[in-house]
Amino acid sequence: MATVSRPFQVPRPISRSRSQRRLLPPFMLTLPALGVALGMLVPIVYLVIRAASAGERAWLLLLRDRTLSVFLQTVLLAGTTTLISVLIAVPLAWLLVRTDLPLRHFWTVATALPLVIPSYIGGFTVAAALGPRGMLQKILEPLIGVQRLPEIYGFPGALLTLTLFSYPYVLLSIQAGLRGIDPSLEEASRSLGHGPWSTFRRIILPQLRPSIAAGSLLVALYALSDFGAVSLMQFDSFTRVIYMQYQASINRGFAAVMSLALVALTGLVLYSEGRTRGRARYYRSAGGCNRPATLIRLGRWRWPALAFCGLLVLLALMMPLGVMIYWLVQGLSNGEPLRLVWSAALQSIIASGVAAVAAVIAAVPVAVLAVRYSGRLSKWIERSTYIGHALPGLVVALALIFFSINVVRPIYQTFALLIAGYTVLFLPQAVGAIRSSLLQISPRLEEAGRSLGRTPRQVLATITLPMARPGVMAGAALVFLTTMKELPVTLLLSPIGFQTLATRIWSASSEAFWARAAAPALLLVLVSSLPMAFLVLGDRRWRS
Amino acid sequence: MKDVAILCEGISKRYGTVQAVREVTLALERGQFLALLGPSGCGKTTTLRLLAGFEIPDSGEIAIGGQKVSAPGLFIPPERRRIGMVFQDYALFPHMNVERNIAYGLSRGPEQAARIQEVLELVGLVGLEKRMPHELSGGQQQRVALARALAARPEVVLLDEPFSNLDTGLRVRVRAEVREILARAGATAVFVTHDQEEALSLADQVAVMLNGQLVQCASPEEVLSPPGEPPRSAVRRRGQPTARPGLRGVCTL
Repeated sequence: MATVSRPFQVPRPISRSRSQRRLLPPFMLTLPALGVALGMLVPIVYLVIRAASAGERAWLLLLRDRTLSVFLQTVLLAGTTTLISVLIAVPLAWLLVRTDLPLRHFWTVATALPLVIPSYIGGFTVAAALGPRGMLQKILEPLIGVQRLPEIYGFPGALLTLTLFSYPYVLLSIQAGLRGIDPSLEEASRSLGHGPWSTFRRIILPQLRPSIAAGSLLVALYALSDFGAVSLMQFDSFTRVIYMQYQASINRGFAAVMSLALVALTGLVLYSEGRTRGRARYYRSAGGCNRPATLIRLGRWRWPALAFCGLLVLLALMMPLGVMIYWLVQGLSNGEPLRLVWSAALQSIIASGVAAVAAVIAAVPVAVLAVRYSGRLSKWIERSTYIGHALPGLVVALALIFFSINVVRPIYQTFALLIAGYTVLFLPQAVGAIRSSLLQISPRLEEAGRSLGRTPRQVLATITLPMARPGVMAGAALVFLTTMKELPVTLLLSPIGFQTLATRIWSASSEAFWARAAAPALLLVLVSSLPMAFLVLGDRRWRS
Repeated sequence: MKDVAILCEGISKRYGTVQAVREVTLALERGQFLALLGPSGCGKTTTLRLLAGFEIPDSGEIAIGGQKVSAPGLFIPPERRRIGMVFQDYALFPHMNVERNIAYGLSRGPEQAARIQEVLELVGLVGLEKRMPHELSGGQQQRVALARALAARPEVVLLDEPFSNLDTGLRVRVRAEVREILARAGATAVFVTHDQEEALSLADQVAVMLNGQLVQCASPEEVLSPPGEPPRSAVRRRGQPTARPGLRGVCTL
């Protein structure tokens, strides 16, 4: 007979209404998660309030021809960028995953690397290299006597920059999709008399549709919310026009109205992607039994394939690095001081580190609630964090400025407001990373903890969180990386005198001081490559 | 009736339109082993989870060790039910070694280390304290799970398909070991299985479930050959109550 070692405790009963038949999440989870959700709503709600009180004139301005042309130019830029990125990424992903392309692993890394180059650095290197009297012209002049290259500023420069530095989003998505396709589907198609090309078109491409859509969504949102490249290239898309309206401070209500219009556009893109995903269903083969697919032999075709990869890496990786190194050397020989770069780097690291910690702290209750206590409330809370996905950084920054000036004046121009801006913007990344690692933890483990006499809170602290550590770390690294590269929020919300690498690069390159921009730009790319390496390596460890 | 460890009266649970458990009534004496036997989807695991407190019943009452733990308007969470659970996949905490896994359910204090040694001896794993779960064989992992569940001297031990993760050769041996360990600990145990032979060889009482209902509850001998019927008839005749009238869905001892 079991002997009772502990004194017999009379359990405290928990009363419930008879209709309540589900386990409710504990308050220590719901309350902070609700707080986070409400915080996420602040920018968008306040933007609506500000726009509504902007007065009739601001709304009439929205109906001008110029607004329509800004709208059309923005859509054109985002659409073309997305289309070209897909056209680059589909054949490239196929080459990297399914063929015997020489140096396949090298190309896999090299073609993904442009992701670490932020658009404003990319923009300045494109302008410095390919501008009318840029480096390419300097090379060509003694050879063939070119006096001036065609104008790069405006649409061509913006399109080139955005495409070169955002196509990896589609590429990575499609690579993952290709790896997930069961090779036996392909073999079935071949055995039914279809050649490689017909199989690709009729079997593989349709299977890849969700990956292409997901990657395109990222590129389209990147292009819509980009501020750095369009400003450097002087292309009037929404973000540049809004920023200039705000800077001129003639009619800030109009800036709010325009921001709202931009949010409507990003919302529309998000909604339409969600719809295409909702209609189609794609099933993967049963997990675990996937054989690796046999590689297709390229034969003579490997030469054009190599040329394609080489050209892309030359433009998206070698050119920016080459320009930065060239101007760094130029700057150093002209006595450009490096001291300011180190202090800016320190500020960047501090801001990104604090933002990473803040985002992770905010993300944990949301993710736990979403994974373990699915219900209407937790779904609503999780969705509210997507706001950071839909709002361009510039819009978040403007909304927080309006909000702090009018509602909580003391936090205007403080470090806290800057961190709040980063958190709103990058919370979805942290939630996503933590969520996926929570999904890998069997609920049985938490139940085991409960059956051994621990309260939900103790189980969270001793089992769930320690086991979710890889996801928490990955989320923090991701937020750190993106905060380092972030420009508009940093530019608008930094306290006076707070200079990060991003703001230094921006102020130098917007006045075409390439030599002054080169050192911080190189440093930024180097520093943000570290968490990238962590993410890629960490990812590999999980897979094995 | 002697000392009752578990008493369930008319518990039901539905998920949406599916009635997973329907008016199940059972009682189990201290120190006895009860097998919940039935095909998959018959509600046996849900019944076990209702006992553990991982699910809230829609109606009915549950008492463990004479203490009411679930009734209309009353719900004691699992951590205060004095149960020990052995999960199908063992659910050993992968970030803790054997010792810390076992210590997890014990209150900190001078007796903790002694109790860990005691249960390790009981399950025959002395010397493996510092191993991580993935460094153990399947049979060893199961014994750690058992030791962890027994460490705090629970009122009842609940085992969910405890042998389904072991290959057949090992299963018979481990079964005998587990039975032996539980008996030496003087534990009361409820285990879920779909293997008739397993239920009959291990349990003092076998409760046969079908479509969420308890169709028979008897000693292994009676289940093998109920009065006037060939063996296993209860399982074959879907949804039919057993021969004894008035006992539909009720298990008494």
